[in-house]
Amino acid sequence: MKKILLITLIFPIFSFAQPLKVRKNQSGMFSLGVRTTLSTFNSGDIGNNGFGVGGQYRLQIADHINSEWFADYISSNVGDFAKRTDYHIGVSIMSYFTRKPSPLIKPYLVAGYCFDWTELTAINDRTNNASKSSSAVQAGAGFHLNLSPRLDLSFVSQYMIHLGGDIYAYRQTDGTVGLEKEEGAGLEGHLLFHIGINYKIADLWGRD
Amino acid sequence: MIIACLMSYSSIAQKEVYIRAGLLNSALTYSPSLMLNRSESNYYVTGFLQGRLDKHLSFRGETHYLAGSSVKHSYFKLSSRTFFGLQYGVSKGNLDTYIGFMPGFTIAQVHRDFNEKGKNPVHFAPSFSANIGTTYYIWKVFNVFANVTYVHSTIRGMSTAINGRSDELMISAGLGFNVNAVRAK
Repeated sequence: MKKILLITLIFPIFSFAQPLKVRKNQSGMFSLGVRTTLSTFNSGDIGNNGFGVGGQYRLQIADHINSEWFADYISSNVGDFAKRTDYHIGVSIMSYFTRKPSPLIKPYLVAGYCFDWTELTAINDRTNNASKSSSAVQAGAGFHLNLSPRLDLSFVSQYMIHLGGDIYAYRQTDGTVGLEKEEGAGLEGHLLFHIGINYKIADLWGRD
Repeated sequence: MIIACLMSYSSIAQKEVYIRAGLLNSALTYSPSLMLNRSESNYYVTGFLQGRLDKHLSFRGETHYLAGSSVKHSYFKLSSRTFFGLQYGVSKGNLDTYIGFMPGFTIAQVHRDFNEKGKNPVHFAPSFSANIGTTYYIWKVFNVFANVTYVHSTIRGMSTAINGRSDELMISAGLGFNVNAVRAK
């Protein structure tokens, strides 16, 4: 049992500690990472900033094109009377301006879509809550700061538009919290800033 | 006595450099902390595991569990902070100096925070930490380290009178254990 645990722990080190094989074609490069998110303009209000944690993996499609598959958990307050929680899971396509695999700064444009689930909960009565699910599209720009051929820090800013009715929290005249679900299509969104760390693990199908 | 023993090991093995890809390092220690949004301090039990990926980079996972506070009616009733990220280190011989960035989360209960049923809810708060520190590898299985960690977290959805900002500056130092998982070339 101890041997199995030791092998489980040590095996990734053996594989990740090898030098990255740089091939002519970057297609197939697989990387894994974690990220932290600042969400602003939640429900259209600059005061309701949220903070989140998430992770992603990237699978490069071509020298100029990469894909990023992500999941985020973001929590924020609505005024001082409700809590908003957003769950995102989706994919973004990143378009690079250079073929170079790891220059110090590698800027890119990003666009994609995701599925999201949002929950609002009144702070003074947690049984008073509402939720909605919808899809969303997002677009923005960012850059990798390549600290080594394998590792990058990524800074991204993107706007995410939720394609569907939003849910709102408001304080009613009697002091209770009202939660309302908007019907029909809406274009409510939020501005997201991400800082992520990614580690290139392997080239899954690249050829020399 | 322990330091004297370790120093003697160090003098015996001072020619060998232990910092290379495959180096695993872990420790369990106490970490005093200063809360940056209120005037109180805490102390945590801290555990971490890190692995060297190449000459400069290490992955690191760490958990801090609240063990006590300097004041009787402290802010936290429960606090457990977990982070996972990477460190960039510059080494000279067996001395490694590093900075790191780690996204993570905090699971916390806050004194004075009661819901409508009079219960003290447990909150999940996305967080991140940034650390700077140094490790000296004394021998193939021992090291000493000192580390300063800034933790950022805001707990959302608490009773309206309570501020959720709960940033901390943690200091940890002690004896770590290391092993090389990859044989030297």
